Amino acid sequence: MIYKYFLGSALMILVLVKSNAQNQSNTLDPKPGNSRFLLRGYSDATFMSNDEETTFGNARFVPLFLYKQSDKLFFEGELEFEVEDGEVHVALEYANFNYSLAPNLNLRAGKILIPFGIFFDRLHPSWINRLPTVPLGYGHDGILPTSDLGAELRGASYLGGMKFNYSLYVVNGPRIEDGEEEAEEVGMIVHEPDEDNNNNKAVGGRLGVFPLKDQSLEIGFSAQLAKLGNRDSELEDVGAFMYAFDWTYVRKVSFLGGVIDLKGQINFINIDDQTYTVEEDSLMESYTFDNKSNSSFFQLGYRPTFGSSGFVKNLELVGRYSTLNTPEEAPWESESTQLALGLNYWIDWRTAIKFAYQMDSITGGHGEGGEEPEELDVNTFYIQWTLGF
Amino acid sequence: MKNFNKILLLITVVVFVATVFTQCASQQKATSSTDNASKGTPEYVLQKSGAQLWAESCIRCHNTASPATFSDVQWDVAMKHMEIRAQLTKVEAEKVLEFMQSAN
Repeated sequence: MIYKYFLGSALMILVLVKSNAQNQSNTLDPKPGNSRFLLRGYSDATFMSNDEETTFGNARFVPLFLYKQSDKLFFEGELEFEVEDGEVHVALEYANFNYSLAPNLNLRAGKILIPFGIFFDRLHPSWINRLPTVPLGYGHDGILPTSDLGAELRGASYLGGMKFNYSLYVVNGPRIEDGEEEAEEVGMIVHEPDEDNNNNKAVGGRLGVFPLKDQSLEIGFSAQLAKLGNRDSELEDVGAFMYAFDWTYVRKVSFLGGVIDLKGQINFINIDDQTYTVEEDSLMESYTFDNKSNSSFFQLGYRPTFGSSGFVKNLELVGRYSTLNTPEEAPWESESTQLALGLNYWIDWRTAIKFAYQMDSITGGHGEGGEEPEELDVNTFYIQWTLGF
Repeated sequence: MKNFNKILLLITVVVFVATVFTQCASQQKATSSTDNASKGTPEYVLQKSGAQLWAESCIRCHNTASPATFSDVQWDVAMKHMEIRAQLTKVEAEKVLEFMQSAN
């Protein structure tokens, strides 16, 4: 038991000693205006309309704090202030320090964005995301990780003349819904970054390769392994293996007169077999199901940057198809598809007005008394203004 | 708990070895950090200009930023952020930074 504290302390001393040496050799110019502190971030406001409601749905202010203490030490932290349903929600999206161990090897610790696929790690800010919404699998009751407390090694290098990037992380990890509070969600994986329910840590990573020399194509594979149950509970040893494939292809294409942007990600979440017993209406009920979920998104964007008209050059067409399938026979069984079509106007490189029409089709949940699963089709029109700063 | 110990031990060992390796590497007679980072970098990457790498790298996630967006010092911070976040190699990040600072 003691050895881990010893090794941890030795590691910390090594890092601090090296950091101190680095700071002495790379002292920053303290002149006014030369502070290596940078405030960036983004803001957005969204209007939405469908059969249920027409509303200015939410607005967000997301400041990003960056501080470079030296070439080795760096801090990034992002807050999110969101107004939704009349309430202001504040969240710490991520906050971590980064130490560059070697030119292409970075260690960061704190609250980190989970590099499981590409969407949340790279594309989720509204001034980067081409549509006003996120793909299925994220957001409320999302099955995919977003951010968590832990440590990560990441970087990029070359192998056989081909560029690759890598991430290897250990974080507190997700938990499993045991049904005590939400019986209808028993067996569902829950990603709650601010709460750690056991001593097991989730271990995962991502490897991306660039087969083309112009870096236009990136193909990635991610995986994460974790135990989900609360400590000392019946579900303590229930594990989850998650993996994902992602791709990015962005290239200027002369004969199309612009830039095409192709992105996608397919995710699989496999949770160990388990019989779940929950109390419903004072009766004990057991559920046994193959606890496997999957989700995906396929996105295509086109921007006519070669055009002569300034107005046309600032337009962008986007389409995204997304799916989410949760386990059959689970109380939360569902099959969802989503098709979103968007038209963006870029005022500058980080400011846009987005118009989108999104069609959601959801089949989910078991009706009482053996009724057929409910089917729901929702078509929503969005307008989102977003500004990166 | 056993798995936890294994994971902690593995991570500690990996970082420890990496740190020791870095310490050893820093004692080599590299004339600059760029020279050190260039080792193992393919020739076709070294031949690319900062402007070319800027055009290739940024657009993979977002629209390309104008060099006039930030001052030299601000670009220094922003590019460190991008080196980590977008997983640029050290050589790529330094070339793009040099271009942004020279063109703003």
